[in-house]
Amino acid sequence: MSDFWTLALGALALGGVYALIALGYTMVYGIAKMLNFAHGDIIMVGAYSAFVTFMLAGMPVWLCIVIAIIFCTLLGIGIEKAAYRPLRGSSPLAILITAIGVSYLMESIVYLAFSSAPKNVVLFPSLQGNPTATALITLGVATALMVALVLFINYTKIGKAMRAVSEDRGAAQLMGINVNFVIMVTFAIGSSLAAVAAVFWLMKTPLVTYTMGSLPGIKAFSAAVIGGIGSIPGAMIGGIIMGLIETFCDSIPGLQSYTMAVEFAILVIILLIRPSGLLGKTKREKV
Amino acid sequence: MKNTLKKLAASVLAFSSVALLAACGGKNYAANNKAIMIGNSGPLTGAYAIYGTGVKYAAQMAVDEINAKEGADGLQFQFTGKDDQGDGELAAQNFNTLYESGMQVSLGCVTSGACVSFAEGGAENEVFMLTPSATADAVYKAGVYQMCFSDSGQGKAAAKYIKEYYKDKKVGVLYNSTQDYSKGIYDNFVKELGKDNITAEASFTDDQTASFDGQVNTLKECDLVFLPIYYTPATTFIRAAQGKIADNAVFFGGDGLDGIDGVKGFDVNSFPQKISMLSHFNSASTDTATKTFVDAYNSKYDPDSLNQFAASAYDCVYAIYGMMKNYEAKGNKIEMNISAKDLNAILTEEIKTYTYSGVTGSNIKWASDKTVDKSPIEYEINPNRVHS
Repeated sequence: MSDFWTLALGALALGGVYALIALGYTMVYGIAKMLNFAHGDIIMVGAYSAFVTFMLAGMPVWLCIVIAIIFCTLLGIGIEKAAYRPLRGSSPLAILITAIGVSYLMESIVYLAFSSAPKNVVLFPSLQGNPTATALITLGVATALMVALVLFINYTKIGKAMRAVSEDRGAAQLMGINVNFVIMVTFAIGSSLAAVAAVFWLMKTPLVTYTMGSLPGIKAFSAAVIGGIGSIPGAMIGGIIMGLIETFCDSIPGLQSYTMAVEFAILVIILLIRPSGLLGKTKREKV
Repeated sequence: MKNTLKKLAASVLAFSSVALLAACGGKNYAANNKAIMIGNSGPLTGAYAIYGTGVKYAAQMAVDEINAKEGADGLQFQFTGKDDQGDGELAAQNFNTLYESGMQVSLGCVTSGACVSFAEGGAENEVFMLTPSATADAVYKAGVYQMCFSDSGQGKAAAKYIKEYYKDKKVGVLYNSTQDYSKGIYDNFVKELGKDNITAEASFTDDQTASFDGQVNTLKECDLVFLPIYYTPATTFIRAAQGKIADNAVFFGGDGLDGIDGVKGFDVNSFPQKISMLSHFNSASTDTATKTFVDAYNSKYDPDSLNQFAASAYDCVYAIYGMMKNYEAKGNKIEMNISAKDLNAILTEEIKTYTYSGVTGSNIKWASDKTVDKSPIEYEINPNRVHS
């Protein structure tokens, strides 16, 4: 395969990983109406979980992935219950600050437990030096998960409840929907997707450090905003756009030092043209 | 009321006179009249502990050797190493503590940023400083002599080395455009080698080490990639390069690559490409001085802590000792309770004509700007790599 197509495929795969993470941001925003800035660190915890089970305990790789997903899901539920639920109904600023605090808390705990020394976790050694296969697997699984998520939201009872809470929390509660349960499920889904993203992230960049979550976190958050925060198809499109821009800029020697700048410039331009993102709902305000 | 004011005034006066005394440098050097005190500050805990620990052990070892050789009637040293975790503020505090307790000569700091803060106090109080490992250009500009290459010196030395030993290679460079260390080496490297001799250049920024696919693609034609970057992003780059950059290529780095073989999960010997770095020390060398040092170190301390920083610290102590011996050979006598300032005057004069040979090189000299002049060696990090 020519270099161009390998790169293009890699870009789509990277976009798929960003999309998986962006889904976590966008679902939590759509349903709980909060920005969960600790989401990026769930990826970091997922990667460390893989480090412990795979490298230290030497478990088979499928078991490590399952454990990472379960651990991150429980962590997401735990964080929601301990840190965000008590603040439900308080000012958005208080919740935002709490999210940032939770993020630092997770990073500090991991730092204390594992030190700041970087680690390499190569889950699939046979895929090393084979970017095409890595990209195809990433893209395939990411697409399947996103399709499954859309089906889940549209055709299951709990999915319907999620949409209802997102539309009008008060009315949903009056209709007998358990809002707390719905929000908990949202966090669980978002965190498990983040764990899957962590696995794919490691396939691409096997570097594990306690601050590794911030970069994918901020890029995926931008992806969610580009696509229109709160919109699930928007998160996917935003993720793919971020992946394409990043790989494109990284391939051109003169632009390599400005990759982040280009990404955020495009974010700003999109927001100027469509303030609520590509697929975001525009609210008409009547005067 | 008046009485209280008076008391207050008196105590302020007393306090300030004590502070004044301290500031005047009224050190009690007589307190350590049995040995000359060498002070150093470096990371003994935290992320960079591996560097500071090696320096501390090796300096202590050199001191012990010299003391045994000289005997009680000759020159005697004592070494004190303080922990700064690589942090500038702690390093500045350490300077004060060391200076107050009678430090007469110093190995500066282990890391660059901390060394600049440490050197402020050193320059002000005229303490002679020779750092084993702080490479930044700001370090020698702050008044510290270097035993290691400065960043700009490293870029130049690397280019010269490539011109001599890898002249047929297609050279590529990958650097971090947001990091002073990397950019500094890169600029001087390009200046020395010439733009025309570089096949491809790629860069990245601190916050953007997601994947190196694009950078690898830019550099795929090269069969030598110069990597003036830290080892953490280097691990990601080398992995991403597999299957794209030729198996017989060379990844050639600066001292920032030191430690890459210690990254958990990154087996340097599992890659077909040669990974090497420009250094001044090779622990596997068969040279007598190096072998004696390595064997002695490994029998006394944890072999994992032995690196080029440790070797350099060992040389620093011996160089200071050598200069003092030269001074005494001219018919002078150095008292053990000499003040830091007087010793500084002697050493600053001696270093102008001093030539030192040790484990990090031979015929080492110092330029008037305090940078070191010595020939670098290439240290191969993965000699047991898989050959395809």
